[in-house]
Amino acid sequence: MNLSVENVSFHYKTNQVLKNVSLCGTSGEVIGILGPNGTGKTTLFKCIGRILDKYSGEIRIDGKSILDLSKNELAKTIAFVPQDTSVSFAIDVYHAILLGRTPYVRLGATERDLEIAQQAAMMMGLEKLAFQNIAEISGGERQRVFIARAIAQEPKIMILDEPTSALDLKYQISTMKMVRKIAEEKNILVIIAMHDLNLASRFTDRILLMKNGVIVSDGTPGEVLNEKTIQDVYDVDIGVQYMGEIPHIYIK
Amino acid sequence: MKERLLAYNKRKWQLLFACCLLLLVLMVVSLCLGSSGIPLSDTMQAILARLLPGFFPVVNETNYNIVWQLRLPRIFLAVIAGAGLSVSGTVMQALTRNPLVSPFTVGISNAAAFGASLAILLGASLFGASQAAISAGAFICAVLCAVFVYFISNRKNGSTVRLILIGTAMTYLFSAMTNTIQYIINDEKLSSVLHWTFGSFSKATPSQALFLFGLLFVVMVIFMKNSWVLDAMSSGSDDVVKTLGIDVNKKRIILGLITVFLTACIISMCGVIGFVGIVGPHMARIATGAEHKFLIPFSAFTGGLLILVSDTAGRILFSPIVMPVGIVVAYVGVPIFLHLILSKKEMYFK
Repeated sequence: MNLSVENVSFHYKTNQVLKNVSLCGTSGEVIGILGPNGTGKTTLFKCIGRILDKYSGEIRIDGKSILDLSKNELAKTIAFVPQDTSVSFAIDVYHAILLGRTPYVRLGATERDLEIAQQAAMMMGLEKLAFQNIAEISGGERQRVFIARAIAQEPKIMILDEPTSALDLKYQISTMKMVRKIAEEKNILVIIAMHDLNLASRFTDRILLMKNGVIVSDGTPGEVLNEKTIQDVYDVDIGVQYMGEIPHIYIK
Repeated sequence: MKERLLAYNKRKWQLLFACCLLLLVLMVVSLCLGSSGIPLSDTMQAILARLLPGFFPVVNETNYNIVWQLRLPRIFLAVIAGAGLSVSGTVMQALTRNPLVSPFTVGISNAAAFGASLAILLGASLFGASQAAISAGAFICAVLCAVFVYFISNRKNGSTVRLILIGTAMTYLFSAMTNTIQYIINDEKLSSVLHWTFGSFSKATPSQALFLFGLLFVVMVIFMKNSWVLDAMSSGSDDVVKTLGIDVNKKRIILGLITVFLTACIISMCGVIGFVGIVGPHMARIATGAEHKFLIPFSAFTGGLLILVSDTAGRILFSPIVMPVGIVVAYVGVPIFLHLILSKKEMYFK
């Protein structure tokens, strides 16, 4: 499976948010999208997930424009894990995961849907929470529920919008380990927006660094995360140490 | 996990079946109660005399007529109206992801009250053929208001917050217009206006009850078919729901207009009966959780039960005076609602 984003631009009224963004990815890859707040990461994700469809340029999956896919086909191809996992009405964790089967369900969940949701819950270590009210579990656990829901969706591409932003260090690491495991075991392309450069450096295959709606650098963590690029993008004084090939960023 | 879920579901269906039996029993009890009490045996005799005429003769003509002509249409209409308003509230809350929304939030009740008041001002009375004109006035205004609120709030990427705000604004506008009519109308007509806005089943007819039953049945089938969609729509933001393959705007408009139509039909026949659209869904949510496959039938039960109890209480508490159900339901509903808000059970609708 190949995803290609070709010269995509998007604007909200007069505010140009994305300017000729291009990227590509293949199954099994974990791509990190980094950049300051308001740089267009979430807008890019919304364009790829066709939540926003008034963009210019082309977004293709295996050569086919996503605009030519039905809503259901697209939902079977791309799963989206939002940054905000708050819920209005409390449902059980198991049922929340089952909702990932929505593109496949006609009237109600089948035995197979229940089985797939159960496997997704087990993969994310949620068996013991399965019948707990989703409003009563922690933010980190809820994040895992939404990732499990995305797994149950059986997508080819999984997009995660800052899944580690509200988590403590332990959950940040475990979430990123899970993301890697999902990409490898399920052979899906994972695109993940994040702010922690060191986490991105440790857990992603490629990093795209964005600033003001433009991708300014694209490559392996070692290629992208150097002092000059980071200082240009974030306007901060940092240093970079290398642990083998993995760059580690520290504040000067 | 899977086995446990299936066992839970089985238990919920059993509970729902038990609730339906309870409602039937309470309807029979309600048939016995009123300004003229009828013993249970006579009530059963009257019911069976109609259903199985070959086996059960009519023993007491008066009781037979009271049961079949007066109380049964009233009780049947009360249960159907309560169930319909509660189901509408459940669906509206899911569509807006807001636990404080009911069909009335979009201004329907006040619009209906204005329509009825206008019809009365223009010469219709609560009796005879003009009652249809009042119902028609209420129905037309309720639907027009709801359609206006829906389409205005959906212009240019509308949000549910905007829908609620516009609905609230329309509520105040129609309230002011109704108050204006009440201010200028003569005393006799003012009495009619007030009586209608209290809500009542005193003029229930079998044809009204059967029509609403048929309508509720069709609407429930549509909602149950969309129960999975409602689960998804109530569980996350529109952006997330879209990525599950659901056309959020289309579903919100279609299902929203169905709730409006159902509500408008009910209040045009029964007058304004508030609160059940909020309390009914929350009572059901506590009993069964937020899964719409169960929540919709359970909220039909809780709404029907609430209105049945309120109407029966209104008939017997100050007999021979009959208190309108629109008043009694607040006395019954408010304590329940406060209990829900103040108890830990509120977590079910956070």
